[in-house]
Amino acid sequence: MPESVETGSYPVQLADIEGQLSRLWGQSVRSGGSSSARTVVLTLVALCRDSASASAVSKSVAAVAADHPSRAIIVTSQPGEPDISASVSVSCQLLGHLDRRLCSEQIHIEARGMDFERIGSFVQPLVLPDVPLVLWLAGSGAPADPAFDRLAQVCDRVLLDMRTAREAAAVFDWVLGASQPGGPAVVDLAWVALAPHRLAFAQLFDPEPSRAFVPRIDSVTIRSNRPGDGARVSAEALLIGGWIVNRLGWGGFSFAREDSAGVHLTALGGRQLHLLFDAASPLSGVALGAGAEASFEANFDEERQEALLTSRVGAQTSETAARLTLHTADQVLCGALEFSEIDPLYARALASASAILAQIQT
Amino acid sequence: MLNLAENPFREGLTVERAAEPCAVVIFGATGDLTRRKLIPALFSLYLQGLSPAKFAIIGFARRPWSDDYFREHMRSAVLEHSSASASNLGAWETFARSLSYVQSSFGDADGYLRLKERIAEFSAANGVPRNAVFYLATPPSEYAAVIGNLGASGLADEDGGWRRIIIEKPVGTDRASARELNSHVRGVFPESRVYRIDHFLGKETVQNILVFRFANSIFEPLWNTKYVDHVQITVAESVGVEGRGAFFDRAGIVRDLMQNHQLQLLTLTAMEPPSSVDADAVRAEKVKVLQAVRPLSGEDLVKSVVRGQYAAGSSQGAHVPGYLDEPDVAPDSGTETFAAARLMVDNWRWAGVPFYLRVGKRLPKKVTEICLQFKAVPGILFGAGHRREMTPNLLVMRIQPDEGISLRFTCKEPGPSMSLQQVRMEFHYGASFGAPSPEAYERLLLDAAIGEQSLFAREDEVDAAWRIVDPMLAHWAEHGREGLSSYRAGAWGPAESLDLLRRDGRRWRRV
Repeated sequence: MPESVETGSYPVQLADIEGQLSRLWGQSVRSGGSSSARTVVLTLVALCRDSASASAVSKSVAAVAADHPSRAIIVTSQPGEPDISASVSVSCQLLGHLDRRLCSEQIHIEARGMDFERIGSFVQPLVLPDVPLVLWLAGSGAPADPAFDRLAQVCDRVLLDMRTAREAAAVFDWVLGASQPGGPAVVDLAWVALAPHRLAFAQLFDPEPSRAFVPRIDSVTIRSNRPGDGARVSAEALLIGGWIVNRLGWGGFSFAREDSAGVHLTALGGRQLHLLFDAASPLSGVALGAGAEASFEANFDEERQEALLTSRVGAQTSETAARLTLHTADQVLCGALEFSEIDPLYARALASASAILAQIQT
Repeated sequence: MLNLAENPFREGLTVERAAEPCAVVIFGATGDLTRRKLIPALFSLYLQGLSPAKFAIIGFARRPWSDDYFREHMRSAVLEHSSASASNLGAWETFARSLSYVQSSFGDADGYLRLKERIAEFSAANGVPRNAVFYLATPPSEYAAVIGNLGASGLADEDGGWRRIIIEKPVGTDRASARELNSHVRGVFPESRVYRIDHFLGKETVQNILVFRFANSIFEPLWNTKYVDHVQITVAESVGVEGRGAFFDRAGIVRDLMQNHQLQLLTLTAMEPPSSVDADAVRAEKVKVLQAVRPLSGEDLVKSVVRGQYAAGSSQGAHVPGYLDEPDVAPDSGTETFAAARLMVDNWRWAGVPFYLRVGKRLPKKVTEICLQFKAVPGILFGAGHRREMTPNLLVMRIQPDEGISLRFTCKEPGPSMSLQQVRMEFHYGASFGAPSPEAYERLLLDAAIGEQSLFAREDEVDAAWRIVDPMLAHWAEHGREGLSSYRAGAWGPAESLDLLRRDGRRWRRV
């Protein structure tokens, strides 16, 4: 018995998608030696820019089916003369620890020359009842389009990835605007991917003596690379910076200076935020200082999946290595699908990051 | 305002359940439990990032092992017993630095002083409090010595850090010995620092009983004497004593499984909604159920309880010996390998609803489940004249294996005639949640390090459970092999077990 079974991809007319899926489910049940389970906990609509992105999404959806079996509607939207084609497939995985196959279904739609209004019109009839509807912007930020906003508003959740957003400020604004009561829960894959870094960093302040210095922190330094695609700061550095200053209760940022090392901001009370671009990765380290009394530093070694944590309180310095269990892209997607509402910490971190970015861009 | 009592950077992280830096001291570190369960569970927690930022694991036992030998031995244990280990040997090297060993007999006061120094060294080296969890993985006969020495050496005192103790089941061998042990524990550790572990409670599906009952509105209104005819709780093992003959022959199935696992399932099934999910609120409701179980005595006990012992038979296609031919079992042993009981919970909710319990070894298959049989509908509409008998609805919560929930109900068969058919609607954890559940010991070790007591038995809970089974044990001890029924290995217990329900016009569910 193979570990994964695909029925193959069958071209189908839009109107016959449900019928063809029913036939494939029947085939799947008849062909499987093990019993097949059809469980669907959500409808996932993925909007992709090209076929490569759609292919990656398809693999990820299949990979997370064990935790989030879904009906996936993968839409590749490209410019051109209006045209639409669709195919369907059922994919089953053998669960190693049970003699059982877990199956999920995928509907692939290639839409040319369609605006969001029309995309929404053929997607919505395919949405399953009574389970959450998740819209995933795969490989792009949120487009500034009222039709897209209307589509997003009928969804329970919207997944995006700040790391792929070309205009971070615009996406920040969209997320903060969409995250109103009654709106979809926005989940940022970049934020989910940063959880291991946040967890490792947080361990610096588990000992009570270190926690006592939190109100006295007066400088925060974030080390990252300099993004090459025109962005001033990496999404990772912005989000982690926004999170830390929010946790510290800092606000009222103003631009201080920019030099060859990076950008320097001042917060209310004369506190210093330094964004240094001297690293090779989008987030290599974070350092906090409390005058001359104490300092706390986390350096992330992603290759070794380890964070070196250094605490200095007075003359006493302690170093420890913490696990930095980085998530694969599939694990990040899996983690993102756990959220049923916007992470309030993310919303606050984003608001702070937005304030920081506003100062940098001016 | 920042709350300095909490780490502001921990808020909202998926890993909210973070333990403070601490030392985990395992008494009986060279034993099977440490090797098979505890170290693999601690390593798995480490791999998941759930260990404290700074921790030490200190083995304490008689054998003359060095730190390095202890680490090497535990490395092989992880390779053998942990599925997460093979691809994580790099992580093991970092994890293993936290392991050390103190060689001492459990009665040697000097060993405890060296342990105290080891904890102090860990604390000083890392700038953390002297927090410690003491895990009693020794034979129960050593509990008193270890607890006494922890008290005498000052290791139980919360001087510069918290101190907790985890005690493996069984807690006592009867009500009197359990009370004696609990009294001994109480003299050294207050109840708020005592964690009586029954790994069964660490299973996801056991915890899910409360979620299923109290997070869904459709079941609870039916969960009472008005709609439930009776409840069956089955804890069946297909194996025999499996090398534990000497232990099992002293204990028997009631002490081994009914007094703890099975009565836990009964309490979770029968309890009232707690006021919160706090440890004491949940445990208080469980204790109320145990206290409401009608005590068995005299003729009532004889009628309501069946015990059996397996004879030679077949299991999984192989011939297997009878209990009396198992290694380390007395040839004239009167120890029960099967027990069934009819218990009544005398409270408002369950008045008149029997709870049938059966537990045994060398039964046809390994299965643990709770089955609620609902009262049958009046046979007016589809009774006489219609094909197939009217059968009541069954709601089954399967604990292991293939955890899930099923509901049996009646529907019409397709066709021109009014034929009725039983069908099952099933939910399988494995289908909806493909990822395997975490090991019970991982959850429980983490809870103890965090200070969460919900999944550990409280002193009065243990006492109330012994109150139920003590009369059975006393009666059997008095009568030896008299009244001990035999059953063929591979059968569902002795015939008297069937009679127990037949007398009430019921029968065991085929599981």
